[in-house]
Amino acid sequence: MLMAHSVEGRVPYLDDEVVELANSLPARYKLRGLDEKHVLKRAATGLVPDVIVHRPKQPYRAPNAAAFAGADTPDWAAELMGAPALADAGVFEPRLVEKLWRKCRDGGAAPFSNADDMALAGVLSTQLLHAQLIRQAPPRVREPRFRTRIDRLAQPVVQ
Amino acid sequence: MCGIAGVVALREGLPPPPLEALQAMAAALRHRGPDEFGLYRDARAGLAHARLSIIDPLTGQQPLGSPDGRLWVVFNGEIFNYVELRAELAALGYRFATRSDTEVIVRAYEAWGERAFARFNGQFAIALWDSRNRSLVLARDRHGIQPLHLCERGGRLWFASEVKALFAGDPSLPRRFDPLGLAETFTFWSVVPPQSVFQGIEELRPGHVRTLSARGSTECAFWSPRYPAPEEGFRGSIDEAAERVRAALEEAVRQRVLRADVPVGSYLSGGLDSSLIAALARRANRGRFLTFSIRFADAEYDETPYQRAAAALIGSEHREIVVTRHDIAAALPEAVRHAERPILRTAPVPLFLLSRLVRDAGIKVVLTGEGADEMFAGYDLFRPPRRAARACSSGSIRISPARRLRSAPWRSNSSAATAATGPRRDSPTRRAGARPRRCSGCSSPGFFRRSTWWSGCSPICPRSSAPGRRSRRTSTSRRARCSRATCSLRRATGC
Repeated sequence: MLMAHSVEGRVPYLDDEVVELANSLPARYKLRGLDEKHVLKRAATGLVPDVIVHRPKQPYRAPNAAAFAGADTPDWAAELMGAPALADAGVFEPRLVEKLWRKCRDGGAAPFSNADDMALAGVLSTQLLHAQLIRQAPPRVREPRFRTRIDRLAQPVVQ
Repeated sequence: MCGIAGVVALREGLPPPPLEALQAMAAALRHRGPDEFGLYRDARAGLAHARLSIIDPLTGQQPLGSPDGRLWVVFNGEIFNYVELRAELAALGYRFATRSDTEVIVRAYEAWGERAFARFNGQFAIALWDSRNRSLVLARDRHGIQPLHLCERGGRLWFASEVKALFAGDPSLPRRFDPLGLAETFTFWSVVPPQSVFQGIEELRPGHVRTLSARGSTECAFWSPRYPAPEEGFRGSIDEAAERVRAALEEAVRQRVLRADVPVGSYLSGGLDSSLIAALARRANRGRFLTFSIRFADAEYDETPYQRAAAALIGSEHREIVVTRHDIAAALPEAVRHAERPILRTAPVPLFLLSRLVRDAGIKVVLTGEGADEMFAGYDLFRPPRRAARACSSGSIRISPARRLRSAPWRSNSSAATAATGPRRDSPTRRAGARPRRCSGCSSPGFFRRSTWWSGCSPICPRSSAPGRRSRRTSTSRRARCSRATCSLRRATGC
């Protein structure tokens, strides 16, 4: 998601030395009782606010189905979740997807479980992938100008 | 970081790589490296490069060749210890014409061959073309941080940072889903390299190097994770361990902040991992320092107070983006186009929007807190075995929690290794008596059937559901089998 906007992500936790060290630590230092990342919390004490060191872990999440339950759901979503698009991609059971989609669109009338939530994101993204990368031929974009150009075929090659 | 692509003829008698193909591939990678483009071509091979200039903007152009013109490299990523390696190589007599880490790769390969890759501390996808031996070497970093996709077609090998560049390079390449890749996605929540979700396309496995020539292709691991037994591992106290972790992270962050010729920012989620990284980055660089956060209009997901508390303590110039449900729905197509795989949560979408904020702020490099949960046991899934161990410890079976963790497949930090190993004989899952069911549709073990949590996905048993063979009969019998399987959707919908 970083490179989509030409941004490089650097990942210090996957540094070679950090990984070697983490793998050599006793498991009980990482998971102390049920306290996750215990040794990291100790390492962070004093550097980050105490309220962050001691807060319960909150997994990073975003609204899934809820983003598609409202009145302003984009047209493409309904189209991709429809029987013709599903049959075209040939991955999912249209009957089951229809149920799932109806349940999502009902907006909480029936309980929407975590598995439903993931299924919806999975189906919708698979359908999007099919529409954008499989169905659609690669777009013709304007040619880049090559600043570095070493074309050995442009001149006779001396073997 | 950049985008790389290329094509190499694997046998004699093929026409030279078409320039248009190299151009189309570079264009498809423009978002990865909009700063400048480079190309190398001879009778057998073509390399293309889209550059995001971070280290040595003036002379670090690619493709970069060895002085004798024999070796040519395109490279995406960073070698953080390139300064140290450069000094070592200079002592061996190698001369350098640029200040770039790319040149260190070429010289290190000349000096040490494939053993060079294990010496690179960084994140990289590398393609090295030996124009004399006519061999191509592809290598990918230990953890697969940088992507590298490849496919063989018509006697040629195509490779690229992204699948869309492969499709652009050879428009005749069939564009089809691979049922096995989809089955893996809906089972493990991700594909496991070398598998991809596209037929005929594979991902180079993390920590591996592949060599291709007219003689054939070989692939081997230049690194694999080591888990020392307790008596061989760290023996100090918990306080000593915390001190070591802090020092190692401080050095890792310092290298990642200072080894760049552009300013480096940091993400700040409001959690422990990114807050610690941002704090250490601040210590490494006292200049202008930007942090970036996602806020959610939905209070349930929002962590604003924590993000602001961390930014205030760190003293960073803090930037925020507020993400609504509508934003997520609107940006999902573009995010999926970049993910190039199904995603089972929309969580990448706000990150897609956040990187736009970073770019618009004029920042090219950010530190992130990813990997901390894997390295330091942060995920909730690490906890059930611990609970089980506690329950067991009062009964007749007594297994130490450490041993349970050791035997659990997720201890490996390489997803590939996890899939290859699977639960070991003494793992809690096996012990609990969970037997893999057999798929009644064909002879394969029903692992996918049992683990695929949503029955609406067809490639439950990839062998019996080859593409184009999905008949009504197949789906009916699959539904019949599904009624016996654990199926959360069925339970939820009552169907």
